[in-house]
Amino acid sequence: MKSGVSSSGSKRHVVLTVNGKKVEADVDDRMTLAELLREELDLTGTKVGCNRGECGSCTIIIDGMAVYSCTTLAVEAAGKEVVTIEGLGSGKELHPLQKAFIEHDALQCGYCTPGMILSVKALLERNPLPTELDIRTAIDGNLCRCGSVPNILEATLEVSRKMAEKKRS
Amino acid sequence: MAESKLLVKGAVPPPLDRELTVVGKPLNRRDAAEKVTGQAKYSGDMKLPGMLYGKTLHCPHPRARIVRIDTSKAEALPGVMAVLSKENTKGWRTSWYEVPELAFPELITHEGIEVAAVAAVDVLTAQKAIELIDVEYEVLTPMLDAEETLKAPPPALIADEEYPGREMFDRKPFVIQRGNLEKGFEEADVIIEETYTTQVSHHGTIQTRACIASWDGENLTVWDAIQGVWNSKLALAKSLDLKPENVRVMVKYLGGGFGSKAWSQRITYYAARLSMITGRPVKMERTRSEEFINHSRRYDTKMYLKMGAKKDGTLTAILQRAIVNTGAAATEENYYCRQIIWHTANLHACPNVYLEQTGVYTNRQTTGPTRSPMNMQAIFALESHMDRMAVELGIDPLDFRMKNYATYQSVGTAEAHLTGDGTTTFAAKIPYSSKILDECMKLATDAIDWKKRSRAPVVSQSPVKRGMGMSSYLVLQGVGLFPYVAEAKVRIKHDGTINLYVGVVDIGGGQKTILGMIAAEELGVSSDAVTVIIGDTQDTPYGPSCHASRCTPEMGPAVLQAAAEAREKLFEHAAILLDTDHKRLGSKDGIIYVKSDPRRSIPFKKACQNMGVDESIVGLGSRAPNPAEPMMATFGAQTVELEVDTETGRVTLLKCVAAQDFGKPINPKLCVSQVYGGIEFGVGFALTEEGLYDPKTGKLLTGNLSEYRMPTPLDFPPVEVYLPECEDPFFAYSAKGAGENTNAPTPAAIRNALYNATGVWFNDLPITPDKIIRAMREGTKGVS
Amino acid sequence: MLFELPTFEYVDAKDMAEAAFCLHRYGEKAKVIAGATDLLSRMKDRIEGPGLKIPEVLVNIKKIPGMTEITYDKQRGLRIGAAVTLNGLATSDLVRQRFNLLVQAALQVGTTQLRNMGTIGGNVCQRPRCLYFRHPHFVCFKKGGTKCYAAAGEHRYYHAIMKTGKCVTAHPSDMAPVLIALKARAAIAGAEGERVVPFEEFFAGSNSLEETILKPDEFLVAVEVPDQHDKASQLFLKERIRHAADFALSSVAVVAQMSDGVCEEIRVVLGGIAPVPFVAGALAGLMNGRALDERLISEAAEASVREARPLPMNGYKVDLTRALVKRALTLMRNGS
Repeated sequence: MKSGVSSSGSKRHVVLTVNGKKVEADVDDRMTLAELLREELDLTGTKVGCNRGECGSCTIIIDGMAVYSCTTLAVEAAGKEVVTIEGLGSGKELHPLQKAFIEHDALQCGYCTPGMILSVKALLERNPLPTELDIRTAIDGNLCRCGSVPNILEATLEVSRKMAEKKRS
Repeated sequence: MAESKLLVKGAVPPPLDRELTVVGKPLNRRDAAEKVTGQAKYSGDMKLPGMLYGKTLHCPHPRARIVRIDTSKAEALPGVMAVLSKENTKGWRTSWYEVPELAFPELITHEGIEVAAVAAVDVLTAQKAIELIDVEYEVLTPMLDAEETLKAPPPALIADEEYPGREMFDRKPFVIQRGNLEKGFEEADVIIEETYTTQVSHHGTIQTRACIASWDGENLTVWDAIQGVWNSKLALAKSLDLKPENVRVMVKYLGGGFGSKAWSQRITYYAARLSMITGRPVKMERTRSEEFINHSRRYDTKMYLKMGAKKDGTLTAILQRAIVNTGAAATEENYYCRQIIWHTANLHACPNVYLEQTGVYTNRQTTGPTRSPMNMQAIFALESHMDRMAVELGIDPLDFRMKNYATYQSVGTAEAHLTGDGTTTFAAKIPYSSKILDECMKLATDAIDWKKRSRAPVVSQSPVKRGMGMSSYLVLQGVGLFPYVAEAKVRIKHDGTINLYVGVVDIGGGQKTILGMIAAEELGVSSDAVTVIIGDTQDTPYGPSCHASRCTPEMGPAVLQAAAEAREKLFEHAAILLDTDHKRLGSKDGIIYVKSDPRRSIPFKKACQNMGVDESIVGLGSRAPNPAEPMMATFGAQTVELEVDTETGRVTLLKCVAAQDFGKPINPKLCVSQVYGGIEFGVGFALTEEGLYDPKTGKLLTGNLSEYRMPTPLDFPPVEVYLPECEDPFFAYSAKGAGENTNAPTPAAIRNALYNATGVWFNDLPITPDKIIRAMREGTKGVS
Repeated sequence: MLFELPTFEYVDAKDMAEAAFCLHRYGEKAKVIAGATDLLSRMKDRIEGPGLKIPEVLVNIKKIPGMTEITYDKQRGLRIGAAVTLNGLATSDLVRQRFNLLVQAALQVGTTQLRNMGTIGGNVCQRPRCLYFRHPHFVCFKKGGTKCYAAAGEHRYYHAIMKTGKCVTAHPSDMAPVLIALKARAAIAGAEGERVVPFEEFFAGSNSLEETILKPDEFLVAVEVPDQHDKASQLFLKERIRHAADFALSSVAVVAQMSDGVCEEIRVVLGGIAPVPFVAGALAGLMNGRALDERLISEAAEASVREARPLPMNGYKVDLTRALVKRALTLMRNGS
């Protein structure tokens, strides 16, 4: 039994896309998306720091929007496109944000990091040239106790600049 | 390198005699890739076959006695494999930071202490089982506020047997004195007294405590979210009556510690015992609210200060009375009896002091390490008062601090931890191993353009006022504290692989990277060439828990010695190949060469191949005890420029400058990150964080991250960091510790800037909008 | 800390009738959900009492036609489905152009993720932030108990300075005061059909167990905002402790129609300081027809808090609110 949850009552069959792949699962109504990802699909990159939508470490992207997976019901993710941290980069090649986070030391203990990267990714997809204030606002729901915020801002600004240059050339 | 005062046991490694190629470089963090990809498995991410899930039931009252506990319905629930309570664990003790506690006490001494633990086949069954446990409590009147508690005699029903050692400090004033206080005040031209209060605050690690314990009949393996593996291993062995060699503790990644995870706490012991009973691995995790009510916190304090100084700014006298609400603390390991007054005694030079610190046992949560546990409170009061004095004297705060610069320390580290006798006179003049606090103060003030700072608050029509403030500090380094053992091992194999074994944990400070860099430098290879085995008691020698900012300063010399020893042994092989004496060899960038003729060289790997195929070289290192002198501490100064809207109480931090003396950073990139982290804590403590209790029942009301307000990215100020360097031969490459030495000055710097902006002295933390608004209305000082 | 939600049944309502039927059938055991950000947390915390049940049926209303849509026509004005997210609101050009007040408020709610998930309906129907209400061990008046713990306990930040009765908490919503300022109406559906209630009458006072007048089988379907005058100025100010995430210590929503510096129609609604968003009704009489000068602004600011009877620890909110009203009116006068 993968999830550590006993089934009492009927389960619901959900189909969704996770990191570009079709996923099917039988879930209880009470299951959150974070629980589905971590317990059923073994995608533990998404963290749960408070389970109340107050810390941001469970942040994932649904249909292009950064949301708290701990406060999203699994049944409501049916038919949606979900992106978790595992969906960034491809095999050996890291995503530019991941590379920049490493270069700028935009992480320390790393627990807020998957959520941070996804919040920033969602931002860059709708606003490719954000100001520093735009970035701070995009991650205003991601707490970092280790103090990586200044480096996260630097990393994100660098990636957006590089992406813009690439577009121009 | 300076002549070796490096604190190692045994032979001191020969100096490198060349420029550094690894240490001092801003290399990328070693475990960054796993973290940014989500591949890093923290303890709560792990699953084992056949794993059970544990849950705990905790007492909702701050002070109570269990009259009756009935776990029969829980035990009978299908899927429940074991239940623990005081009924079946009589006399069993766990330990938290050296304090032996009853695993399931009958007398509850703070809200959140567990009364039962269950292990079940899944989380839902475990939760259901908890709900089926029936407990009858005799609810007792809790002691909550320190001053109120002091007014009444100690209640008869204190749980002495659960908290041995409380009598060592409870309600007992500890005093540091020197000179003649009365005479000092007589000599003063200006005397100012003030009272400062600081709030309950919490660590707020993003990962809550989570562990898996697995017993196979003979060996106990534990994956935990803690800062120390060796101390946990030994404590678990003792508690469970196992031989230490049968206990293995691992922490590959930790989602924040800041002291709250200094070692294993009750749920680890419960999980271990449940695993031993059921024969299956048991996972236990704290919910966020459990983390708040069950865990350690930063003590709330009230500090009275009276200072005297001459017209020219020379300090003549300091009187301090500090009251610390220690919660249900026990022994001096939960509470450092002189830590506040130690800082007051040592930061500035003052010949006459009488400093008193009293801890009061109450039924609030206890403490343990907490990023600058009492330094933060002490520095807030002291540096706030220094500015008060400076203004009264009409002297610039920077000049005032420079005037009273302490060239010597008068109270050593060991003395800070003395128990027994309450009053001690310290008149010593202990030199520092290194100190460039003056340079730090200059850098921090220059960078913020201190000359622009107006001496008196600016009178303007706009409700938004601007101001600048500063704070200096020193921090009692954890280095050399009990338990003190710091060992390292380096193994070089025939195929050229190099392993560094360190029994410490990378808690996010980059310990894995830093220690690897030290080994790489000593060996003369690139950092990548060294594999660091860390966070595991298997194969590693004893390493201290990574708190007290002790990892780099304590492990550094041990790692250096181990790597140097291995290097010298390898040189014996290289010497044969290069046909010279091994004493003539040096190594750098993966090449071993003859120092007097560098063209004669061989690759590092080639020297390794000279070993037998199954042979390997081992180097060992071990740090020696601290000498009686000199004093080892880190220092720094921070300045803040801010705007405050005096009508709405909104504070906007425009800029923070931090100039920190860490000796020499092994990795400046990681050091800067530590400074950012300290400022995060400092800003929160100064402006937004507060643990609130219901005044009647004493229950914690802020048990979530919506009410316990840690700075969001929109609250984080722009920060400039300076890391001036100084030699300190007592540490590897002069590297002192960094972690806690960055959050202590921030609150005073902010508070002093607020004075500069508004003319109001805020003496009560946190300085929330309501206090600012009230103070502006009252026109004098900020009160709660 | 996973699996903290209690067991419940999830129902996808395909239309209003089905949703209303579910609510009617299950009574207090059923609740509608849209963003669910507040409700799920309360369920995890087991916030309940004799007068507040943890729901066993959650009825999803997001799939009901119209619930996530924003439409507009000059006659009827703006219609926002109750399940439109705050971010959806804030990024709608239509709303930004003519109903900017809604955007100003929406952007100050919570965090980015909460604005992506939370809805206008949810924000308006959210429950108080009182620390005792939010703590499972205090069964206060709002949960069907007999006591208010905050009155003599901790009440610094989220409690009222006026109009308190049995409960002393303040309404925490940012969208509620702006909707009232815009004279918006609540479109409600229930077992007995549909009705429309002005938001000024939508909120129940401090002696009610619920914060709204919705009957157990009713739910908010849409928000109808009448078209605003071309010359209307709209301003929302909010003060809180942190610069994100936190609820209002005090907020002010102003809609003003000016003509050559003279107030033609001015509407000021205060949030975060009363159990129900407070319409500063006295201001209309005081200000309409007069020039908006410094003196009038001071008088108005003073009048807006005249009824304040603060609790022992939240008197600062009187000063804060007064200052915010003054600031908002000053900004309006300066034409921002």
